[in-house]
Amino acid sequence: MKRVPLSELERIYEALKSYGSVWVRKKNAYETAETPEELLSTVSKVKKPAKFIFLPEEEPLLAFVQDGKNVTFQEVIREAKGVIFGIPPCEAKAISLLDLNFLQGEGEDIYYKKRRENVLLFGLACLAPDSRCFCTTFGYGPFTESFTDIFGVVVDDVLLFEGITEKGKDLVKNLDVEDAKGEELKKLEAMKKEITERVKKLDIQGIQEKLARMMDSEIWDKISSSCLGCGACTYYCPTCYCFDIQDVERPNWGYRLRTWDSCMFTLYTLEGSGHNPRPELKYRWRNRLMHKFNYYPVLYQEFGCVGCGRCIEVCPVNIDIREILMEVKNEPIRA
Amino acid sequence: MADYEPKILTILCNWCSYAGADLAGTSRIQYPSNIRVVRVPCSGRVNPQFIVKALRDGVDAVWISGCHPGDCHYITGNYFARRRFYVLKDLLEYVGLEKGRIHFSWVSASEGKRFADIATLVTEEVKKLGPRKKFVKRR
Amino acid sequence: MVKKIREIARKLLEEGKVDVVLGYEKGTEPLSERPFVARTVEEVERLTYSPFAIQNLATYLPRFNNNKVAILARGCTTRAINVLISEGQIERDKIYVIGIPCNGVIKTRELRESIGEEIEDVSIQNGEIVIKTTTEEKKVKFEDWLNISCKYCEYPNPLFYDVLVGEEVKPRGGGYPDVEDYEKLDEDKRWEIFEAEMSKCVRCYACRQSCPMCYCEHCFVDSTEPRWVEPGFDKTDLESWHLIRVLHMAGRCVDCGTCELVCPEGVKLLFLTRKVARDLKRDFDYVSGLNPEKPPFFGEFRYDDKGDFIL
Repeated sequence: MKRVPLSELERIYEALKSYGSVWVRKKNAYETAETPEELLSTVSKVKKPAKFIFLPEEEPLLAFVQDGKNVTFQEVIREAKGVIFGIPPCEAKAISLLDLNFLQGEGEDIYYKKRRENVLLFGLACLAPDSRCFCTTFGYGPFTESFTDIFGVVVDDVLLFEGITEKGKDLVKNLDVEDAKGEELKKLEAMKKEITERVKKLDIQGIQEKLARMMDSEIWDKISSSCLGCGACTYYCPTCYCFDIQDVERPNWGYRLRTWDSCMFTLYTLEGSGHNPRPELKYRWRNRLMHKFNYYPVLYQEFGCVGCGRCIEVCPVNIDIREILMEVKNEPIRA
Repeated sequence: MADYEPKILTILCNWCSYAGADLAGTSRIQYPSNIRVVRVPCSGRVNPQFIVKALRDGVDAVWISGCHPGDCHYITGNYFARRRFYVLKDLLEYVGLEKGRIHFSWVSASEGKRFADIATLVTEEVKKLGPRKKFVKRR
Repeated sequence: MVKKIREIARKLLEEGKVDVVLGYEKGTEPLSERPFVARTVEEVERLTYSPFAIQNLATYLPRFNNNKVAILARGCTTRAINVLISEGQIERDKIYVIGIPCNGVIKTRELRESIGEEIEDVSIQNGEIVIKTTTEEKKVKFEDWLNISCKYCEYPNPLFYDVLVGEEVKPRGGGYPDVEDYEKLDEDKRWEIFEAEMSKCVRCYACRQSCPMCYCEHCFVDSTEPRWVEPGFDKTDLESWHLIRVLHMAGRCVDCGTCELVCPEGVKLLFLTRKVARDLKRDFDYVSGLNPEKPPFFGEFRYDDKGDFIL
C-alpha cells in the first residue's frame, strides 16, 4: 500500500492525466476533471453509473453518404481513454459483469472493447453506503478491490492505494509516493469492518433455483401491479446493457445508431408480425428479474445485480427490488 | 445573406389552396420558387406532427393553407385544423422558436393573385429571418 | 383520515363491492408514498395517504377494466377519470370513487435530492415539513415545495365521489403566473432554457408511463414509419418528443403534475403543459376533465374560434 496526502493529490493527478481523460464523480454523472482538486469529490453515489462511459446512451456505429450512384460507408468507433477515478466497488463489479457479456467469445463487442481496454478503473472504497445499498448480499463489499485496476481508500486526510492488476501496478510503480504507515493500515482495517457491517445484507440463498420453478407463478401479477412500465430502472442500472440499433436516414446521408433499450418497454419484444411474446407488464417484470437472478447466474455463475440501489431511488413508484427478492423467496411454490 | 434561398414546406388543401396555386400558375402570376408544395385532401388532414417533423428534418419554414372558413369541401375540416394550428403555433413561439417560421393562410380556388401574394410575403419574411439556428439536427 | 380510508376499503372488499382498491402505501424511500393495489382485507392495513403521494392513480384504471375498482381520488384524479370516460377508456359504473380533498402534493424527488443526506424520518407539522437526517433536523416550508400545479390548483376537491374522506378544502386558484413569467423572457432566453431542460431527458418515458392520459398502445415516439422522433439523444429529437407529447395533451392534460414529479432527471415539463392549459382556458374557455359528456378539445370546434393568426 502506498500513501499520498490529499493535499498533494496533484502528484498522482499528473500521472493519471498521462493516460487520457480523468473522470471523477459528480452528482449526476462521471465527468472529466480539469483540476486535481476535483479528485476530492465527496459524492458517494453518482446518479448515472460509470457504465455511461463504456456504453453511452447513444453511439453511431457507421455513417453513410450517397453521391449519385456512389455510396460511401465509414465505420465509426467512439473511443474512450483514461482513468475513472473514484469508482466504487459496486460499479467496478458491474463493469466486470458487463465484461462477461461483451468481451467473451462470439459475443465480443468491438465498440465496447475499444473503450474498456483503454480505461483504467481507479477504485475507491465506499465510505458512505446509504440506506439503499445491499452490496454485501452478492459476496463482496464496499472495500472489495478485486474488480478495479488500482484500489484506494481515503483514511482521514491521506489516500492509501495499491495496484491490483498488472496495468494498475505499472501505474503505481512509476509514482513518486511513499509506503503507507502502520497505523494507517490499522485504521483502514477497522474502517473496513465497521463500514462493511453497516450495509444491510439480504439473504437470497437459493433464489436462482427458486426462480427457475416460478415461471407460472402468480407473484408476477402482484409484483408488476404498481409498475408503470417506464425504463428508468434499467437505464440507471449499472449492469443493464440492452441496446437497440436503428438507422437515421436522410435522402443522401445517414448513420447507424446504437441506443439503449429497456426490457420494460412494450417495443422491446414486439415482433414484425405484431405478435408480442411478452404482451403484459408482468412478463416483462419476470424477464427482468429472471435475467438478473437466474439467467445470468446460469450463464456466468454471477448474479446480474450488484446491490447499488439505484433502481430503488429512480423508480417513479418506488418499487423496491429488495422487497421483491424477499417476496420471491417467501412465495410458496405450488406443485 | 442576400443569396440565401430558404426552403419552405408548403402544405395545400386539394380543393381550395392547391387550386389557387394552379390558378396563379395558369394566370402566369409570378411567385418565388422557394415553396415546395405537398397536396393534402384537406387542411384538417395536417397533423401538427408534420410541422414539427419538417422543421427537424431541415426545412426553413412551413406554410399551410386551406379553404376559407365555411368553404371547406368536407364542411368543417378547416375549423378543426384552426384549433390545432393555434395551439401548435403558440407553443412553438412560447418555447422560443422565432416568429415567422410557421404560417397559415386561407386561400380559395379563385384567389390566384392572393396565393402569389402570400407566397411572396412568406418567402420574404423567412428570408429576413435567415437560416434557422434553432431546432436544427446536427449531422 | 388514513383510518377512514382503511375502514372504507375494508368494507368494500369484505362486501365484495370491489375487487381491488387502488391506493397508496408507505414506500421504502424517504418521502415516498407509492401506489398500492390492495386485493385482500389484510392488505388494506397497508393503505395510507399523505401529500407525498405524487402518482395520479387514474393511470392504473385502464388496466383494471375487467374488475370493479375502488380508487382514491383527488380533484385531478377525478378530472382524469372524466377524460378517460369521455374517450371511452373506462366506465364510470365500474369505479367506486373514494374522494379525497387535497392540499397539494410535494415535489418529493426534488426535496429528497436537495437534502443530500440520509433521511431518517419525515413529518408534516403546522405547514412545515420536518426532515430528520442523520446529523440534524431540517424544517422546510410546505408551500415552498408544493408541486407548481397544486400551488395554483382550482379543483382540489374531487368533482364527484361515492364517498368523501375529510372536509372539502378551499381552492387556491391563482391562474398561471409561472407561465406568464416564462413568457416575459425574451425569445432566445426562452429557447435556451427550453433546450437546457429537454437535453436532460434520458428517454426513459417515465413521464409518459405515469400519465393517466397516455394510454395509447402504440406511442408516436415508438413509430418507425413515419419517424416522428428519431432514435438517439440529439436535442431536436428530445425536443420533438416533448413538444408533440404536450400537443397530444392539449385539452386532455388535467395538470396533476405527475409527469414532472416522477422524472428521474427532474426535467421541467409543467411549464409546457400548463402553457397549453392556460391558452385553452383563456382563448377557448376550455378546461379539461370537467364533464365526461363533452367531446375532447380537438374533437370539436366553434365557428368563432380564434383565427387572427391566419393570413
